[in-house]
Order: sequence, then C-alpha cells, then structure tokens
Amino acid sequence: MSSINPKNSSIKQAIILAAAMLAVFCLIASMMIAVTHHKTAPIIEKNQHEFLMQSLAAVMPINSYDNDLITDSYTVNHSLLSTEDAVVYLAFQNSKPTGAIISAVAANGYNGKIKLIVGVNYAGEIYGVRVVEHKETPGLGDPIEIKRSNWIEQFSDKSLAQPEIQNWAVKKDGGQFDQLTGATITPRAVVAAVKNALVFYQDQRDMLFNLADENKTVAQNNE
Amino acid sequence: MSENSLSTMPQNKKIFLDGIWSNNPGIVQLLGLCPLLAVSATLINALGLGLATLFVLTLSNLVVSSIRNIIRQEIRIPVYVLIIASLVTCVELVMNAYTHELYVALGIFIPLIVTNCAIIGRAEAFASKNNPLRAALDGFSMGLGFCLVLVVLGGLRELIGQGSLLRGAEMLFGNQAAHWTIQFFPQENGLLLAILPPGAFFFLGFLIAIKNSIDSKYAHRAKNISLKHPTPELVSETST
Repeated sequence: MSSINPKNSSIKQAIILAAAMLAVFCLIASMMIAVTHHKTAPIIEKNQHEFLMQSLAAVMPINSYDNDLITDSYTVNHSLLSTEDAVVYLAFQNSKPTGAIISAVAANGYNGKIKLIVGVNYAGEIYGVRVVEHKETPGLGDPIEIKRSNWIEQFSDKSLAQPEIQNWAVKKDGGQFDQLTGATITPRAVVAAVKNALVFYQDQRDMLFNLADENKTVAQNNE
Repeated sequence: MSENSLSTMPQNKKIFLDGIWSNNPGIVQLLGLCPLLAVSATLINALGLGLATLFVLTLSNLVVSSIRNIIRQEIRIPVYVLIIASLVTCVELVMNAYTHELYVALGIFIPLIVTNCAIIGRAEAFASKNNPLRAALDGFSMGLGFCLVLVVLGGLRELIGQGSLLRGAEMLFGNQAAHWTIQFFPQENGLLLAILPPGAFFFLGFLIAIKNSIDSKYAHRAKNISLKHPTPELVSETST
C-alpha cells in the first residue's frame, strides 16, 4: 500500500496542475473575448439598427411618418403572415396613423421560406415590398431581390382593389403579375404572401391602431 | 533561436511554398472543404472567408507555438480548440462590427472556421513543434494558400455562373467599391451549374487536375534534363 501512495499523489498532482492550466487558459480566452465584445458591441448594435432602418426606408417613404417605427412595433401571431411571430411596424404623422410595415413569410418558396416586408399606406396601398431573406435558386429565383432585378417593384401602388383580388396571381395562373423566366414557384409564393399581408392589414388595421392608441395613453398616464 | 540564418532561409522559403503550392490545404490536403465549397459562389464572399481564415490560422499558429513548451501534453488538444474558438469569436465580432453586410452574407460559415480541420491540423502538426516565427509563417502560408484557392474558385464560379467579377465588393471594401463590379456578359447567359453546389465540386476538381498536370510536367522536364545533361554541379566538379 505504501508503495502506491506516492504514485497516486503524483497522478493527483498532475491532474490538478493540468486542470489549473486549463482554467488559466479559459480565463485568458474569456478575457480576450470580453474585451473584443465590449469594444464591438456598440458598433454592432448601431449596424443592426441601421440595417433594419435601411430596409424599412425602402418600403415606406421617410417623409410619411414622424414616429420611431421600432418603438411602435408589435409582434403578432397570425396565420396570414407567418406560422411564427411576425412584426408589424406602425407609422404615425402628427399622431395620426399613416400606414404600416408588415413582415410576412412566404412558406412555400422553391427552397423554403421567403421573408418579406410590405409597406402600405393607411388605405392599404403598397408603397413597396422587399425580400429580406430567402434561399431561392441563384439565377432563377433570386431576381426577387432588388439587387438582382426590379421585379419586386411591380407591387408598388397596388392594393386589394387594384388589381381585384382574383387577379392577385402570376400571369401563368390567370393573374396580372409577371413571373420570372424559368421560375414560377418563387413569384407565386411572393405574390400570395403579399396578398395575404394586405388581407391581414385590411382585417386588423383598426384593431392594431386602437391597440397602439391605448398603449400610448397608458404610457402618458404613467408619466 | 538556435538556427543560423543560412539554414533557415531556404527552410522559410520551403514553408511558404508548401503552404501555397506543394502542400496546399485546399487542393492537396483537401482540408476545410465545407466552407471552401459553400461560400465560393462569388469572389467577394470567397475573399472575405479566405482572409478571416488566413488571420485565424496565422494567429492560432503563433499562439500555439508560443505556449508549446509550457503546455502539458494531456490537455494540449482542448487548449488548441480553446485558442482557435476564441480567435474565431473575436474575428466574428469584428466582422459583424466593421463589415456587417459581408458578415450577414457569410452567415454560419464564419463561426464554422473553428471546425476547419486545416487550422487544428497545423497547430498539432507544425506549430507545436516549431518556434513562433516559423509557426506564424507556416500559418500565414497555409492561410494564403487556402485563401488563393477560395479566390480562384470564387472568381471562376462567379465569372462563369453570373458573368461578373467583384459583385458586392462594397460589403468588404466600403461604399467606394460599389462600382468595382465588372460585368462581362449578361447574368441570364451564365452557366447556372457553376453557382450551384455541384459546380463547386466540378471546379475544385478542375483546379486539382490543373495543379497535378503542372506538377507532373515539371517533374517530367526535370527528369529529362537530368537524363540528357549532367547537372551543372557535376560538370564543374569533373572539369576541375
């Protein structure tokens, strides 16, 4: 027994030393990451905010509202928009509602989900639509991006009245929207998602703005 | 450092040539193929990931080599992983802050640099056995070799698939680079296969084949020369 003890203690010592060494390295590494995080965090936050504001500005003229869209944004869960939570940004000018930006998801793209934002005025006429995220085939489905083609601009000024709701489809399906060369599934999904967003806005507009009003009065009363 | 400058000079040259040609991680060792194939659809995406990998590989080799004498053998692999993962996290944060659009475009492939086996491979095979200076040079050469393969692959795929080069340069070089894009022919006429994932395999295969044929041509020529004519050293020796 006495011959095993020194060996045991030397193993123990080795393990403790190795563990201590590992701990020291972990400490140094976390310090390095913490410093980098601390230095970059404000810039990253600013970037993300700018990125969001840029994409929002593309679907809603800046002079049509004077509130902070991000503070006046609401998370809704509605089957017309997405199976997950969707965000609606409400626009006000002089405290009067002037429109909204609705984020919508077309679940039936060629390669999965296509995320869109749709900007509408109070009456429900489209200012603009942009694709925020998609995995469509490069060269076939990706002209839905504004960087690739102006296809997405054909939605401007459209509403549920113009064209009529039965014409909200690609030409191949008897509607009035252009499809893309070699790709029908992608445009079909986008057209349907935009139409659904408009239907959602028509149905829920008053409820949304009432909710926003209530929130504002509550906030004012609290002050 | 015990090495004298006479013996290290050719060694340094060999380390450099190993990295960018004869032992290139991309087309000879075939390491890190996942990012290589996934982000090489455009030249700028490829360059962005290539530079990030180059940076991580150089620094990780430098750090691993600096601690090679104090680190215990049993825990060296977890420590290497820790070093590489922290470096990649820092690179990810910095890219998110300063090249935000590129960060969004590259997505998951920045954090996945951690899993690029070329990096831990160099740490274990080279940096843990050599002095920091040479380890850093090895990391830089291997990173440069990887970056070059990425750039060539990205350039070829973008050119053939979309007819353009340097599309999206502003993501990496800021707004003044927005007009750098060169369009050689309309995007619709591009070969779609080139930008799709199978295209990446085809083009990588071509690159490997070209590299091998150049190598064998040189080997052949060297053999022929040595058979036909005695080498100059031999001539001078026999003449004296």
